[in-house]
Amino acid sequence: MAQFVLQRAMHASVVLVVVSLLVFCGIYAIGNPVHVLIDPRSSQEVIDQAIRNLGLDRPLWEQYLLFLRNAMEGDLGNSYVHSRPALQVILERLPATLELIFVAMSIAVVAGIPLGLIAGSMGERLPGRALSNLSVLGFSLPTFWVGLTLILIFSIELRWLPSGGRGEVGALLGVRTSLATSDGWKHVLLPAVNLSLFPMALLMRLVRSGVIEQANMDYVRFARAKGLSSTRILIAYIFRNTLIPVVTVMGLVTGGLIAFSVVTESVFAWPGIGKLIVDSIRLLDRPVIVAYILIVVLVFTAINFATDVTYSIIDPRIRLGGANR
Amino acid sequence: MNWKVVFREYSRDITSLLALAALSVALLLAIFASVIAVQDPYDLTALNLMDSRLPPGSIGENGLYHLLGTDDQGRDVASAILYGLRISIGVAVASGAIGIVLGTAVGILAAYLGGWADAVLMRIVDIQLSFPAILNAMILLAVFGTGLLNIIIALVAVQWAYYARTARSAALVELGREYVEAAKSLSFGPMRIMFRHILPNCLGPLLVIAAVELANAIALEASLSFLGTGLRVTEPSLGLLIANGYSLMLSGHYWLTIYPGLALLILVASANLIADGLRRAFISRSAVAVDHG
Amino acid sequence: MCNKTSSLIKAVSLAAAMLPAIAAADELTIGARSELTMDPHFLWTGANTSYHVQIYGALLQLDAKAQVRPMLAESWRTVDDTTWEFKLREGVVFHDGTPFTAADVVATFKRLPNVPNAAGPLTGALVGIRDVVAVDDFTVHVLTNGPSPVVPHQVAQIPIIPSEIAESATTADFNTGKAAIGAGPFAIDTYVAGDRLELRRFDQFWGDKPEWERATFRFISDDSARVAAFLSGSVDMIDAVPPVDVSRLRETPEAIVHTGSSDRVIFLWMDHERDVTPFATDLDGKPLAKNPFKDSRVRRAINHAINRDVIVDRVMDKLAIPASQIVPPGFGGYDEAIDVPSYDPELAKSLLKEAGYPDGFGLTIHCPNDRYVNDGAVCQAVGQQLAQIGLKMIVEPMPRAVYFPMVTDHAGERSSLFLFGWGSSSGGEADLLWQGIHTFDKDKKLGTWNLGHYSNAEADALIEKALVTLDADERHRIEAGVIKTIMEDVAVVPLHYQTVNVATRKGLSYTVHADENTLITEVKKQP
Repeated sequence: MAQFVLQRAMHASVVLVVVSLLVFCGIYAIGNPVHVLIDPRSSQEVIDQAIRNLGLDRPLWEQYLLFLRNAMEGDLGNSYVHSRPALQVILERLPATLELIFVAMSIAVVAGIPLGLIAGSMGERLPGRALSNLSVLGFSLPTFWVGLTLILIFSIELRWLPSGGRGEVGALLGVRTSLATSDGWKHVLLPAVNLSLFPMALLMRLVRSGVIEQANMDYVRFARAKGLSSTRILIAYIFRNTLIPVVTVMGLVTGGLIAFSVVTESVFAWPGIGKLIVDSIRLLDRPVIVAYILIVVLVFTAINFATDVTYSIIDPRIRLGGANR
Repeated sequence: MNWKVVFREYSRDITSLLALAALSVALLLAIFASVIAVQDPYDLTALNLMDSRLPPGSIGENGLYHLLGTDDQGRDVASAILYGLRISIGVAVASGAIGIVLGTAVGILAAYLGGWADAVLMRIVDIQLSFPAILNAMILLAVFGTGLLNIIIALVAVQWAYYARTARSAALVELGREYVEAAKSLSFGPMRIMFRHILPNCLGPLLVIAAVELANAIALEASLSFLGTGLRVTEPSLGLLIANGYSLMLSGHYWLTIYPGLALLILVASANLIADGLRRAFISRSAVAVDHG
Repeated sequence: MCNKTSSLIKAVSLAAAMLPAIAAADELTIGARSELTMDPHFLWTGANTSYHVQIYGALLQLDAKAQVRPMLAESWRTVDDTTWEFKLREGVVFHDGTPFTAADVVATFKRLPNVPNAAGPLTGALVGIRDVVAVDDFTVHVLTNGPSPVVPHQVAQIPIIPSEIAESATTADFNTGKAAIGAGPFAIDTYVAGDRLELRRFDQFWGDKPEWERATFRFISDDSARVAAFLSGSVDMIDAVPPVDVSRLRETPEAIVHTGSSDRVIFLWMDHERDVTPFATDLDGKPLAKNPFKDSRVRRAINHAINRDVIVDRVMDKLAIPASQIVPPGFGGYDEAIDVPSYDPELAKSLLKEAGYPDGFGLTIHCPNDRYVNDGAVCQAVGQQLAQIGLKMIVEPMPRAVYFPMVTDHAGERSSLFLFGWGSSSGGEADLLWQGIHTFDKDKKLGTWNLGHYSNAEADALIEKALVTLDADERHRIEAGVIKTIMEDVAVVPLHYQTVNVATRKGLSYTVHADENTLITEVKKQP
């Protein structure tokens, strides 16, 4: 077990280094970022000075080693655009994205699970299949398209909700979040709904297939024979048994939402890290791009790692890392 | 793999059949686009700027009937959708095909070889999968530039790992079965075992993944176009059409977004529904009769 | 009209009609396209100057027509050929109450080249300026290398900060707001990166008391999101209104669109220098043996192939003016005698034939798609029009992060035909002449932005003469002469002059500034 953990940890580090190298070189290959940021009215001498300021005149490998050394100390370079440490810029915007993901996942869970249970209990009958097909809509609709439609309807025509941005930030249980104010909730609702459609559809289908699978099992038949009502069986037994795989997948999906939120944040001008990465790529803000990718890969690797370990603990039948010979 | 049974199971749900029909129609439209369309929207000399932003049902200065209106460069939207279908489907199919071949080969190889080779290959797969698709694609395109070939490469990079993992899992199941031991003891070569025996039995899950990845590839290409890292702007794909129309929707030029959006929705939804149907069909017991042949 | 369209229009108008009337509160919310950088000396861009002039102030400011006016300096004059004297305003205090003196100006200028890691230091604005010294508490001398007529416009670009802060504060101090002490009409209350900037009125401001007690800039870089925010009532006003939305907003009874001319001209550069240019090919795609742009007939053909009126009408929604030269009207050097090149595709085709390209040739046009107004669409329209005179066109819009490094890499592949924009406010006149038309000269710091590598010795000599002519009229005459020459030579293909478009709720008036700055002080409540 310990060997497995160590092995996985080592793999994760290798992943991080490889990814950081790839990204670092890739961005450098696009060209000199100074020309993007510097005002066209400056003179050549100033441009040269700026290149020196940003350390862009040193050879590539030197720049990368410098970067690695600093990364070990937690310094991932200064954002060119924001004139602050890249890590700080990302961490500043992280709460906004986390808020969005939290509300989106909550909506997905609250709507998706009951719908999935209903769809599952209807099984192969028409309502069940109809709901299942409807869930396909949930992840077939292009996110940006849905977002704009939501804005058009709820923000411009009905004027119920604002069209973008984040609301006022208050304090909830000692944490600064916009979910502490009603203004904050008004702002987060539309983007959260937009973001929730995909996980909601996914959840619905997962629960549904889980329910169908369980419904054929012996213990359900025994329970029915004992005279328990369908609803009771559904909620007390089936649901609980579908929970483990559902929770695992949802864990992975939540992590994926961090990347998925890129489009939603752009449409709704939500000041999170998704919008930050799109802007940073456009402006060649190299430190932020690299820091962002590293953080995302770190989060993903951690989630994968945790999932693997959890799985192996829950289900000892799954052997770790070996083929089924 | 008893294909007749598969198809029968698949057709049980009318929605699956409708989806298959829709995708087939889309495919036909895409193939015959140049015949059906009233205008070649990619030919700059055929466009007229004075015909820009005409509402659906208008007749342009050169006498063309614009069923779904025109965009801001004078392109006929209906024609652009037809040609856009070509790109969306073409890119998705091409990247899917390459991805399947690459991924399946890696997956089956990893399962067969086991040990170190398996660990290394799967680690690479993990690295690939640990990366969110859209970021993966965006970074690749930022590095290598845009263009048709690069988009396909980016989409392959995003997809192959799914196929690899699925193929490996399916292959692992197969490798545990007796007939493989039997084949090995008969000194059948590894390639023969892999291709003639293991591969056919992995096809089921692979096909399902393929349908899902088809949908994802189409959607991902659209998102990439929307974020500005897509294809050539004078040869717009569906995603790019929507992106262009996005900025015009608020001023009342809805047709630039709604119609390409509907086309995209139908494409992606059909592919997903087909995947659903396939999944259902393959799970059904009578279909999964292992082919020992 | 199609049913859907009319009902959509009705819905939008109805919605907009429900925009509440201006509240009596003295609070203003602006939806701004660009975000600011908190350290005023970190990154020189038009957007940053717009913010910082309102928070910190500068020696001089630009009015609506980009002419210099007094701000922290009351008067200015040349003492001799290499010295400009600025008399500072007395009785000015900073936001923390400390008095403003010449020491602050000197310390500010000293800081400019020494901001660590600055991506775009403001020293770029100071071509020709050697030093800044204090003569007494309220007099400052700006020393130049030679006669330099544009110093007033240059100093208008530099936000002034207190000397204690200039000497000790770091960029981090500015980011937290600790060092954000200026002498402008507004002081910073709160800054949330990526979201908004909240300002409050500085009551001890030396000038006219601004009408607004509080003002919030909300950063909404996406065009549609910004318009949506305005239509839904989240903001009172937005800048950089996309041209396509202007007519819709004009039809909205509760909104007003304020339009004014901009200092920016959009034009096309060509490769004047190389013998073989990479993006001009024969019809099979192989690079042409001879660079077609070296033949003036080809350049003139392109000039006449472009239908500027149609671009202005259909792509810019009439919110631009066809351009005849490299500066807009109203700027020094502008020559009204120069006509906008006529749209004459037949002439263009015959010129091409004369030059030896009866079947045209292959050509790629490059441009940014997120820098100038509708740049991507303009590029495509140009591509369309060039295709119609027989050129086989490839249109390549790209994000500015990729575009600018490509076209400014003087040693690299660059481009053969590409789009560019130039705003003349930091020079106040045709400064593109010495920044972009003059042959590149590293020592004299001229022609840094001569991206097409155009070289005309006659023009160079006249440009250098203009640079040291202190008399404005004489200088403008020389500049106009140069412009006439280079326009005839088609050094660049002028397209159009942009306009500045700002939308406010009804009941507010706004005076548009040619340098595209969004100024709170220009927003006034109408009685």
